[in-house]
Amino acid sequence: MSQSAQKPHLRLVPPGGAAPGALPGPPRDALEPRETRIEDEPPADPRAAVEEAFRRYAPLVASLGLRITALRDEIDDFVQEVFLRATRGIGGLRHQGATKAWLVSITINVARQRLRVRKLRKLVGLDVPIEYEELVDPALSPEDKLLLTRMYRALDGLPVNQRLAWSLRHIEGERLETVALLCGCSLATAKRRIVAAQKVISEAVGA
Amino acid sequence: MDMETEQIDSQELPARLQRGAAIIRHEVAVRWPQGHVEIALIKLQRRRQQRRYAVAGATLSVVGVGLIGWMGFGGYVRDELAARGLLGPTSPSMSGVASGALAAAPAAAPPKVNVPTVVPLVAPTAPAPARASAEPAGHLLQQRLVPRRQVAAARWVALAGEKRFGEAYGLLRQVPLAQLSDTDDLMLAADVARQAGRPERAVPFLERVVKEHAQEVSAQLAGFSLGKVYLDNLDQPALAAHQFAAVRAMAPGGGLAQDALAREVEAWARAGETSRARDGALEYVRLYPHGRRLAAVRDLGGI
Repeated sequence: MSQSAQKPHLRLVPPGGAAPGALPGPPRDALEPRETRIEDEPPADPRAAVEEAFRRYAPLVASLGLRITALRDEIDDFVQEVFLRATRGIGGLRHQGATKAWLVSITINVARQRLRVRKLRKLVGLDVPIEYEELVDPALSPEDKLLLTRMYRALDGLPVNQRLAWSLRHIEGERLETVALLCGCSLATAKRRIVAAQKVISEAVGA
Repeated sequence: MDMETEQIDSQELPARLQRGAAIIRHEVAVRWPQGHVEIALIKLQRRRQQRRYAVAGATLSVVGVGLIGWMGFGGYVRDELAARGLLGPTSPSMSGVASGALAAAPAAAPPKVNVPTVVPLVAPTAPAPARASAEPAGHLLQQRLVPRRQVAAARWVALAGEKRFGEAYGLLRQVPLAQLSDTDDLMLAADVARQAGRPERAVPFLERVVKEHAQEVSAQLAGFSLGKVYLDNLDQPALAAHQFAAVRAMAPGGGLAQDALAREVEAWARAGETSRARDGALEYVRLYPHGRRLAAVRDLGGI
């Protein structure tokens, strides 16, 4: 059996037919769907499919969103936003096996939007400072808490796209191709963003 | 894989950055209490419904505005503007009398229109001089908002202590939610909101206690109060039932477990979920054969 026959090609297409570039395709490595049952049929009842996906993946979406944005107070709202967008697009999901990867790409888009709004709020002086130490177990050592705070502050200072690229690469451990796919940019741009972000973060934490 | 990708892939992070990334990866996670996913799902369903209503409302508004325009209001405005010489005579959208009058006028000479003299209500004054020290918008907002928030944060607890809940709630609204992290503060904030007649505003405070202090006894109390708010004030019996179930799951042998189960039965009964209400009632009878609410639970569960 050939390689392509073993691995189904998973991508989103609108119900009326394929429209290249209309919606982001799923990434292919760490975000590759791991469901044991991959079906080639679109979900029969989109609403039920979203609810099932919510039960299964809401904690994953919440944790990913929290790690990337650190907006703990907004995380419930964040998850709801992701699944509301999923409700609108699930009819175009051809393979149920791609649900997880697709939700991750929506999560990244929502995170990007939230981070931009936060930057805007900061610009007009309406941003409420985040206590990063509250994101982790209180039992964590003070040095680790300080390091965490410095890293998030450095990330806060970065342009949103650089922050996303670096977070996906070094926190989530994604491959560069996946980072580029999730960030909606070329591989070269993804690399440039990661390198630029790393320079700033290294200086900020004194690495 | 090209050479540059290979280089970046093999490039290791400095040890300190690796440590920081590992802390974020392993320590920063959402720890939802048991049953929270079901509660969040019900909220998602409600929000979907609200969004459908909003879309329907917006569509109706657009259609309404379009209809009004089509029925002639837009034409009336355009005619008025044209009559005052503010629109060109060749405007294709002109209608009715005004366009007819214009058509009758000689083509070379534009119509003479009496433009009414506008009398200013306020005597003209010299333009205000530019502010010498114009601050950026962010600074101005900060100057105004930050002291107000500090005053509010300092005063609302005192007012709540004096049972002046309405005033306390007014100040509490100005305090950023992130500033309240202590269990006592959050519980007090929820009480203030409820006493001020805004039970729905107590929900975020109670939810935070449940989520952020899940290991403390206060979480059970907050969860129970949350269930009561859903059931008694917000008319969300299904949400309330899940909440009471979550309270029981937190401490099955705790002091609130019996009341939570009784309330769960009541909530399922009110939600029209008779089979779930019956199951809950049977569970109550099994666990608390001499329970305080036995008669009511039997009645609600239909057993």
